[in-house]
Amino acid sequence: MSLALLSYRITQLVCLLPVTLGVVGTLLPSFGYFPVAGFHQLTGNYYEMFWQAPGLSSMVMATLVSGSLAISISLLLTITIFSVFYNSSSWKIWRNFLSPMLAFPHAAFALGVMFLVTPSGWYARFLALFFPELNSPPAWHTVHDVYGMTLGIVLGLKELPFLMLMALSACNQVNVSQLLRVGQSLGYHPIYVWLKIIWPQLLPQMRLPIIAVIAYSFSVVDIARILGPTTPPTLAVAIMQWFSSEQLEQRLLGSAGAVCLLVLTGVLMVGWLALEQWLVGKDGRCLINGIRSRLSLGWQWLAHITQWLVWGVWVTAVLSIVLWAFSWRWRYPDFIPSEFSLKVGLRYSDKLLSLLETTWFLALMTSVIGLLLVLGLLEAKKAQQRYALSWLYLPLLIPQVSFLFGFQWLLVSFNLDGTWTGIIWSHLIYVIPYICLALAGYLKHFDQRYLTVATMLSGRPRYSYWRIKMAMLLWPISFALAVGVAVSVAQYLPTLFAGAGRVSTLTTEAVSLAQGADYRVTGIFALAQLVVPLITYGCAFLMPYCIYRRFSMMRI
Amino acid sequence: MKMQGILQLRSISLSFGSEPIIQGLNLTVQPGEIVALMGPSGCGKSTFLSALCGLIPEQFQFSGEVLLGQQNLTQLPLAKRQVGMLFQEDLLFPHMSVKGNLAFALPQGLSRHERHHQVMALLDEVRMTALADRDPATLSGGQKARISLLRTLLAKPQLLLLDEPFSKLDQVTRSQFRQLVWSYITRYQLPTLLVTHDSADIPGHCSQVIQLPYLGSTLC
Amino acid sequence: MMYLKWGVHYFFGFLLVLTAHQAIAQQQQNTLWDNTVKQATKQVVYFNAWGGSHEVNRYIFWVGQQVKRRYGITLKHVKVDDISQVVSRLLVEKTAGRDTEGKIDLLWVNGENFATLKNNNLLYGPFSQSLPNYQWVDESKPSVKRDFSTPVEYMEAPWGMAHLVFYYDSSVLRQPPMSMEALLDYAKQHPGRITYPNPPHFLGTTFLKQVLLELASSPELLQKPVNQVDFAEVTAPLWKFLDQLHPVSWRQGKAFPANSSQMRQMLDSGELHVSFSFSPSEASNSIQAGLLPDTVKSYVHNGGTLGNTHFLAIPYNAKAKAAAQVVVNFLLSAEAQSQKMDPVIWGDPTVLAIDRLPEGQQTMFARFEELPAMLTSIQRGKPLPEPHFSWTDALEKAWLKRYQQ
Repeated sequence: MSLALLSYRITQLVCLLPVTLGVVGTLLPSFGYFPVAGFHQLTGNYYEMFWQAPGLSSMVMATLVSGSLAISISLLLTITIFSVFYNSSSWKIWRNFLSPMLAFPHAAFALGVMFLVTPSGWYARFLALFFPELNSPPAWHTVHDVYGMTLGIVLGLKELPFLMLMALSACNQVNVSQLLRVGQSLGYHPIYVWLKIIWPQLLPQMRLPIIAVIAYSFSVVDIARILGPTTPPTLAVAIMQWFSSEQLEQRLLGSAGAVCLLVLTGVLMVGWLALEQWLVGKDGRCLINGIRSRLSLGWQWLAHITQWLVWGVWVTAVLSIVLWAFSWRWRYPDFIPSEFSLKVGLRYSDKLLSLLETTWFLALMTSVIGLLLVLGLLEAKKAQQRYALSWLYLPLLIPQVSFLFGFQWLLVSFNLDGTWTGIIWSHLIYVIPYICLALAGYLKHFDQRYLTVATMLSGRPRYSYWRIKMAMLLWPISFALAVGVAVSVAQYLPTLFAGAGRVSTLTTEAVSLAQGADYRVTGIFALAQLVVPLITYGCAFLMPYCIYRRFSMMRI
Repeated sequence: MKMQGILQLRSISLSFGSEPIIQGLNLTVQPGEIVALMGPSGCGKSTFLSALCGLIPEQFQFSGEVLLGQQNLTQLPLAKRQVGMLFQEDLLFPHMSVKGNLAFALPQGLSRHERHHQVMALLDEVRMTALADRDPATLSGGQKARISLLRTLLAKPQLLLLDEPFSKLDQVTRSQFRQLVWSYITRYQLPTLLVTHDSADIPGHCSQVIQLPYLGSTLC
Repeated sequence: MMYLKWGVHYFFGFLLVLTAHQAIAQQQQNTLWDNTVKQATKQVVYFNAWGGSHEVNRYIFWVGQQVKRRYGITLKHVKVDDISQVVSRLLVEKTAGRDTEGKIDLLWVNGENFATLKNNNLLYGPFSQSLPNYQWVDESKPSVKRDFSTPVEYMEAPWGMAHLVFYYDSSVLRQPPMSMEALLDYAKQHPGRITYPNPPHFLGTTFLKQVLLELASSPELLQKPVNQVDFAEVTAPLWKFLDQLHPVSWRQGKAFPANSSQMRQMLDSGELHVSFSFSPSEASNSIQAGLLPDTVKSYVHNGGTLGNTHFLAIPYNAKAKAAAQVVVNFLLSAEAQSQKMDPVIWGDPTVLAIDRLPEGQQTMFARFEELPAMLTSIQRGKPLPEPHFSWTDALEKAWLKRYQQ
């Protein structure tokens, strides 16, 4: 077996085994079969229990509201930004900041927003400068709100860069500038060219990322713990609580819930596919109604306002993290901290360093292994066909809570729970698809003749592969490595399940500290969490630059 | 100088799916001889050359034997065929200097000093030493083509395959470069296959011209 | 005289034999303990303990340094959000048959988690009475012998005392409400400024129990298992109270803070007017840490407040049982206990009977500075005993059913 085929098979094993066995390992307990804990009786009782769980309707409501908000916000914003700002002056800013925005860990972003919108947050403090009645915090339901609106908005803003990057790569398949010219010559305003001609072609290309966002938004746990409703929480968080209950029966209840969540997200995905068909189907009525520029000015205004709002939230979120991390005393309603200090940071320095070490080690190990596997697998003949690698993205389409519980049992039975191997494996499930997304395009567009020439010249295929192909692809490869690091750093549930509580990373620590409500400490951990991917991105950018600065073709 | 071997192609067939491109081609190319293959673009000329290197793209079928001197190349991997090939593009490695590009073609096991020495000697011969440390992207089209040719020859190939190497050059450099290639072929006595769609590329001393698609006439 | 003489002889002889016996027993125990200490060297103890407080984490870190230096034991603090997760993991390990080489060597536990562990035979022991330092434990404290009504029977070693203490910002609030009725009145006058953590968080559940203890017509019923009393009747005053409190509490009782530190943060920002904690030193610790203004003061309700003991237990399948015992013994030493009680470090009240300690060690406990925000044990009064452990689950379930819809 060639090395390429070997990595193809290994990757299949690494990515698919946890998901398939994990789902089975969740499905069986949900029907009462859970031999490790002494349950053998097949029964539907746990679904009944789930059906009667206190507050189920509110849980489902909060899940649906937050998830739908997230997907609508991210998708509508992506569509608006592309339609209005494509190749305009702000387009450059968007393009440059997409990758760092994507690398921004979910939890850190959620914490940053939490610092802004809580009743005693920065926005309330800002308003208190002008309204004296806000001298004690207002009774806003801005975090932990019953319907999970804040959660949905934050999720939407966080998924925005992902969808935008995916849309950008989908644009490569469609000749955008030509379509724009043609459309405009038919008298359509560019916004309407996008809406009526380009997006109907892009949306089908973006099916996979969009349903991945759906799967994620309806089953997120870490952000929901930070910002979501509490009495009762969203479905995914409730399932997690059942999974970690000291009463074993509750775990079976959790499995039943996880299966129901899986079905729910499945239904929603199918719903999106139907909606997409309806929107861009062959004779979609609004596509051919002839409207060419109605309200385009209004669209533009709206787009500008939302753009500034989005940027505002991102910038203030980062700023508030930094301020909290370096403050000592910042009591409401002070607009800025009354006392700055490094004391809190120093107090946690030992812990921070050891967590940084663990997090970085895990992230680098995972990314390097993932990168090697992806490089190998993309060379395999099997990977060349269209849709040949669809299976790779399966983990992104299944809610984490719906298979990680089963995966944990797989790890326990191999005695891998709480080991580095187990955690690295659990991260690889997510790191591999993202590395592949980041790399596949570059590898596909690489002119294979360079390698042919090099092999003919040197007579050494392996050497040529590394010295020519890999060296020429150094920038995309180090970028993919950085993507891998960012994905690994952001993993919360996989670390929790596979780590058996023994291994904590910056992310698990930051999420559990968010409950602690010492915002200074939370700020420090959020800052540390976001420093890791940013530094990695910096290196990924600088290293090839330094190595190749003499060669103009190698510049980014 | 070591005498080069004769290239022999025996009952070569190439087809795309069910569509034949070449059927039962038998061909002998003497050292220093140039055989040209002509045909409209997209007829499978380049694929034929790749197939001679052992690189058969998917959906293409190739059969027949390729002999070079005493050696049967048919089953050999690309790295062992000792083939040199020039493409439309110069394909200079963009992350190496001119010197680095040339040194890459040198055999394994030379010291740093020897590599430098050999490359510089070669560049001196063609009066291009000034280019040694240049970024290939900054060279002119003609310079790139020449470096690419030198790089190919430096690896001491037994067979030269030319895949429209002149088509991207402007008129003046094109004819200069042609002359250079022909002179090197004669000098190193390389059996050569030239693929082109432009009859102007075919040198006067070219012994055979094969039109593609070739469906089994008795050329030999 | 002869008889007397013989008698005296016999008596002394008897005494001699007796003391010799005791000495031998003592010696045996000593060598037994020496063996344990010897075994413990180089072992790694995974101490699963709540990791949500900087003071506690720092203290455990200090303990780690001490046992490393003194006994060569490596102490690893596995920080958990909720110890019940650890309990469930142990349950699963047991059913999965992982009876040795368990991944937990020591855990911080009490109440219903202890009851679950003990009833499922998941604990190693009895062990605590054989620790040399156990002799100084104050067994006259009822919660040391009975943990939420479950007999301890040396299956866990007492570690510290918890006592429900309320606190408020004296620059906002003149006279704190000293009972649940007063608290309700205050909430009615200042809507939105009173709340409690979300049950089943333990502090939220504690609040429910405190309400019940103050309002129930016969609080002694709470010492019985839930299934032996009329739950609806006993808890009726609690629900009546909460039904009145919720409409005037923070967010109209539709949402609750997650835990005590969130309540503290909301007190600091002025969102809440009263907060409470199970740790008597929380207010003063927070002032020092820059988390509360120095105008914050503590108080307890007139009828007293709930108190309990928290313990250390060793799982039946622990890998480093010897080292775990050595660590527990060190944690029970006067040095470790006084360090822990120091309000500057943690402020957790000791389980030792200070007056029975040797003179030199008593002074260790006498050196603490008086902190204005912290009540002395005399000011706090005698703690009210925890209800039977079955109440915890029953109250949480009933609360969730009523208010989580």
